[in-house]
Amino acid sequence: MSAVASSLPAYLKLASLQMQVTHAYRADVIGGLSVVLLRILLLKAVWTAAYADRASVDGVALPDLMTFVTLGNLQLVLMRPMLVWYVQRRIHDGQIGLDLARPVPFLGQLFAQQVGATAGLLPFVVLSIPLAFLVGNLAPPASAAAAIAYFASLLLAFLIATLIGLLMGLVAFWTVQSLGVGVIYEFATQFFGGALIPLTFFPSALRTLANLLPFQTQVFIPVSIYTGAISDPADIVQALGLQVFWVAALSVIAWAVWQYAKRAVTVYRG
Amino acid sequence: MTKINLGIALWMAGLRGALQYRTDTFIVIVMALVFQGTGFAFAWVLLSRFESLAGWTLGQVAFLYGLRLIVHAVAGVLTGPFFGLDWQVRSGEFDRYLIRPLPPLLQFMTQRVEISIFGDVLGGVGIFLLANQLVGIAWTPIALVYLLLAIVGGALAEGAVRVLIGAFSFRFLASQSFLYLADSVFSTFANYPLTIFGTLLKLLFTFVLPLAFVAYVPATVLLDRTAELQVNPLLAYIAPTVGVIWIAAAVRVFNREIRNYQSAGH
Repeated sequence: MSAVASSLPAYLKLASLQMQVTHAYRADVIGGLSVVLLRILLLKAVWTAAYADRASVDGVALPDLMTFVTLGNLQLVLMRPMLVWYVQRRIHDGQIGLDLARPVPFLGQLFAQQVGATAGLLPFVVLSIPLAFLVGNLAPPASAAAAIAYFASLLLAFLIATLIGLLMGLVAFWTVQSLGVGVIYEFATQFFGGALIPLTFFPSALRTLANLLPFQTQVFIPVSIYTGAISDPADIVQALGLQVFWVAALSVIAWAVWQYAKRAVTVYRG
Repeated sequence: MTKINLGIALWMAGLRGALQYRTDTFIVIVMALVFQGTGFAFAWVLLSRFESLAGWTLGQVAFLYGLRLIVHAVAGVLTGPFFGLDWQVRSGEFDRYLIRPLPPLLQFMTQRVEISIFGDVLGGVGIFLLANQLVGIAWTPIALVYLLLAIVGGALAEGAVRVLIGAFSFRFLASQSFLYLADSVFSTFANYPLTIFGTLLKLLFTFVLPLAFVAYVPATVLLDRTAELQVNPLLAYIAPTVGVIWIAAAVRVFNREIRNYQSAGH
C-alpha cells in the first residue's frame, strides 16, 4: 500500500496528462457525444412507437424506460475502453519500452491513463445532460439511497470497464493489432449491457446469456438501481456483490495475463 | 467509354491494394458485421416482444433494414475515399488528380476501396433474404426492376450527401467529422419507417437530407404500404429519380468547389 502512496504523484501526473490529451481532441469527443445523442433520439422514437398507446409494459412505464436508455447510453461514454487502443499504439510505436522502464508498475500506469481519460470526458458528458434530457428523458433518482447506491455501482462499473479494456489491450502484446476487439466489445456492451433494450425485455434464453456475461454490470445494474427497478436493499447488495465479484475475478485474470505478457514484449524501434 | 474503362481499372487496382492487408480486411469485415448486427439484433428482440412498430411487422422492418444496408454498401463502392478527402486537400495530395487527363472526381473516387462495404453487403443480403422468408413478396419482373432501380437511386442519394459534404473540403479544409456525423445519421435513422419520427425529423429527412428515399420510400412500394405516405403514392414510384437529381447537383457543386483548391505551400 505504501508503494502506491509513494508513487501517487507519478500516477496523478499520468492521469492529468491523459486528461489534457482528451481535452486536446475535444472535436472527437463532441463528435462521439453527438452520435450518442442521435442514438438516444432514435431509441426514443422507436420505443415510443413500440409502446403505442400502452402506458406500461411488463411493469415498465415509457418515461422510466427512456430515463433508463438515456442514462445508460450517456454513462457508457465515460467507460469507453481507451486502454485497448492506447496499449496497441504504444506497442506499435515502440513506446512500450519507455513505459516499462518507468519506476511505477505498468498496470498502475494504465489504470491512471483510464482515470485521466474518463476525468477528461466527464465535463463534456455533464454538459450534454440537458440535451440528453431533451432528446430522451432523465428523471431524478428513485431516492437518496438509490442515488448513493448508483454512484457506488457506477464506480464498480468503471473498474470493470477499465479491467476489461486493460485485458483487451494486453492482447496486443501477442497480436499487435487489437483495434477490432475494442469495437466489437463496445457493441456487445451496448446490446448485452441493456443500453438499447433493458434486459427485462430479453427472451429468456438471451437473458440467461446476458446474466452470465460481464456486460450487464456496465449499464443494466447501475441504471436499474438509479431508476428504482432494483430497490430492495437485499437486491441492491446482491447486485453490488456481483459487480465486486467481477472486479475481483477480472483483477486476478489481468494480473495473471500480465505475468505472461511481460515475457512476450517485443520492442520495435527500441 | 474510355473514361469508364479507366475508372474500372483504377478501382480494381484500389481494391487489390486494399486487399493486400489480409488481417485488416478480415477485421474490418467482421467489425462491419458486428456493427450492423447489433443494430439489427435490437430491432429483432424489440419486435419479437412488441409485434409491430407503427404497423410494421418484424419481417417488414427486416426488409427495410436489409435493403438499407445493401444501398449503403453500393453507395460505399465509390464514395469511401471521401473520408480521407480533407487530409488529401490539406497535404496537397490532391494535386495528382489535377495533372492527369481524367476528371479529378473520377480519379479520386477510384483510388482506394473501402473494405467495410463487403461486410455491409454480406449483412444486408443476409437480412434481406431472411426478411423475404417472412414477408412473402411476389417478385414480378416489374418488382425486380424497381428493386434494382431503388438500390441504385438510393445509393446515388446517399453518395450525393458524401460528395456534397466532401466538396467543402476545398474551402474549409475539414470535412471528415461532418461526414462521420452524416453517416451515423443515415445508419441510425434510415433503417426504420419514417412514420415513427416527429414532424420536424420527417421534414428534415425528406427535404434537407434525402434519407427517406434511400430505402424507406422504395420499401413502402415493394411492401404495398404506400398508403402511409403523406404524398401521392404515385410519387413513391419515381423515388429512385430523387437520387439522380441529388447526385447531379452534388457533382456540379463538387466540380465548382475544386476551384477553391489552393494546394499546400511546398
